[in-house]
Amino acid sequence: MLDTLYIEESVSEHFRTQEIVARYPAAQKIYIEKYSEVFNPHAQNFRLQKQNPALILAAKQNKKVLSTPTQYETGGGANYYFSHMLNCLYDCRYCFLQGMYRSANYLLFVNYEDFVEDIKKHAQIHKNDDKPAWFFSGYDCDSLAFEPVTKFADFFLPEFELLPNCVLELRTKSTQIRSLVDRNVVPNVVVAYSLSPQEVASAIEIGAPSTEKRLDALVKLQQHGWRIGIRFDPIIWHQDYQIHYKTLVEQVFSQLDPSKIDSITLGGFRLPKGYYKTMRSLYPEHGLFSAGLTEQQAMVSYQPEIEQEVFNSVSEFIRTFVDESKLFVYPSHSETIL
Amino acid sequence: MSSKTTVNIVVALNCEAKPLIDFYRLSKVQSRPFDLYVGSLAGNNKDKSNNGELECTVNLVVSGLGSQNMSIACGWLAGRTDQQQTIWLNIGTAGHKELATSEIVRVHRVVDVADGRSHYPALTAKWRGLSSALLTYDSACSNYPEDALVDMEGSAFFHAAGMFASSELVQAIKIVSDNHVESVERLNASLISQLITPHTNVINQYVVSLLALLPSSQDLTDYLSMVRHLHCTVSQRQQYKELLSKLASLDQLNSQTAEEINNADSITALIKGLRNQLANLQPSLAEMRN
Repeated sequence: MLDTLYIEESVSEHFRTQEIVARYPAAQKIYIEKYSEVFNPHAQNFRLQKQNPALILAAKQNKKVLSTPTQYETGGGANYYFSHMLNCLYDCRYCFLQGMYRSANYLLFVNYEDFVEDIKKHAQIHKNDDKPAWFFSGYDCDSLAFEPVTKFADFFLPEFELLPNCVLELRTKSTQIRSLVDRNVVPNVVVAYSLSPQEVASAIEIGAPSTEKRLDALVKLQQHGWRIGIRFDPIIWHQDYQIHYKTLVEQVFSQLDPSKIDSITLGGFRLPKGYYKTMRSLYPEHGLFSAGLTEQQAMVSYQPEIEQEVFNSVSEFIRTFVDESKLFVYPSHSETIL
Repeated sequence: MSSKTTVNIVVALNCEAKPLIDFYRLSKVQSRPFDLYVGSLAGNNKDKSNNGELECTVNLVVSGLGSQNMSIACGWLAGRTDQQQTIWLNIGTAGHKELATSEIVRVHRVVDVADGRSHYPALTAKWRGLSSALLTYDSACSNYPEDALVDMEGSAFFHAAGMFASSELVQAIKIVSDNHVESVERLNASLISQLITPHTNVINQYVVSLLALLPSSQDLTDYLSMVRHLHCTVSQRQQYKELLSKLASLDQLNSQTAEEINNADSITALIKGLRNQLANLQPSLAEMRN
């Protein structure tokens, strides 16, 4: 339950702000000029704040749609990402957001209409491309976890329905899928789930739905006709990782129809060096940041031989179920999407 | 929560300090340059997360009136305190146009009226009472603004204490002492103490909430002292500490490691040995749980 709402004065009368504020009658409301006054100051501790984050309601200014790093793709042509929200309801220990932001407060940009305007401009640029332009959501937050409050998918899905040369990819671990199963399928929307073995999820994906519940949601979405994606990203190297990931892959493909999966991606644990240092200082007692890692080109990732072994093992499990063309592997030496 | 936690309470006046000195049973240990009282937070306070008693030092310093005194007192107290796990709390009286005298209020924004500088403390610890902005003036103010507290030290406190702790741990609680009906001129030391005394339990509950935010810290003290027999540069000492911390996170600091450290001939060889030890470790999920 949220204790505190910070509201930018410029959006205090926005209908979306008022709807959200009405959901939290007991929360104290603090009006601010710019979200940066609360979100950006240096002397904040992400770990402490994560225990009781506030919600900041603001307007996103400047660029709302950004290009992804060149190597990042799942079958589209041009690749972009956009973030209607910064920070996540979940507390996954590997998440780069802990290293990127000083504040763990949830920052929601309520001016969705301005995002759509920018998306349309980019769609126009690519209207004659052979492949669709791909728009990723859910890198600076979980796309669906806060759906009952944000109504993000509820708003954006109909907008993308009008942009047939574009694909929207929703990246999530959430079971908040009512806004998807209660409506007709949008053919150019992919719902991509991050999956980890239950042992990993319960150890380091704090607050996120169990693997079983995520799979249940995937099954419902697939049965409903939604395009789905599977993201084994990051794969966490640990004792027994082979057994855990083999079990997970079997679990996934025993419940989902592999022929109707849009794409599967594998990614290693990797972070920009600065983020890694911040995260290790926040969680010095955490074993995730202590073993098997190396620093190359300002990135911290698993040592190449470890990463190679992990990718080989897990991709071999996957190839027994799906066609190679659907599998995308992101080695850590490519840029991380931020 | 680590045993090395400290609560630094900063008040402007002795009469504001008195109810807290009595509540925490603090002893005066110094009177220059500031009155300093010290004690421990224990006894009735149970740390529910650990099912144990809170063990932490309470320092209370009386800064005197005004921003300059507040800044200097915070800096002076910080110099005496281990900064690792320290909570900073400004307790005092303040005016407010509408709020009744004796209301207790947590500060959610502070504005230095002299330069317009504004600060929003991170409101992470639970607080069930009122909350308000605070305007800090250079001198006593009886011309109350709309919907904000007024005082003479708050902004300086946040600015100074914020140099030594993260925003979640630097907080202010004000007790309304005057308003548009009950003027600031009627206040005296006795009345100020009387206004604060009924709130000491609430203040203490907030202190406990703040302490509950603090994570356990790694205690590497014993291992750090084991290399006293070796010549180390600052950089080598940092590398050694980092390796110890990583090994501790993987549950690998044990008697064998201690023996290796005690038997080391040089810090260079020791660092190399610990690195090799770390390189051969594969973490278990147990070591990745919070």
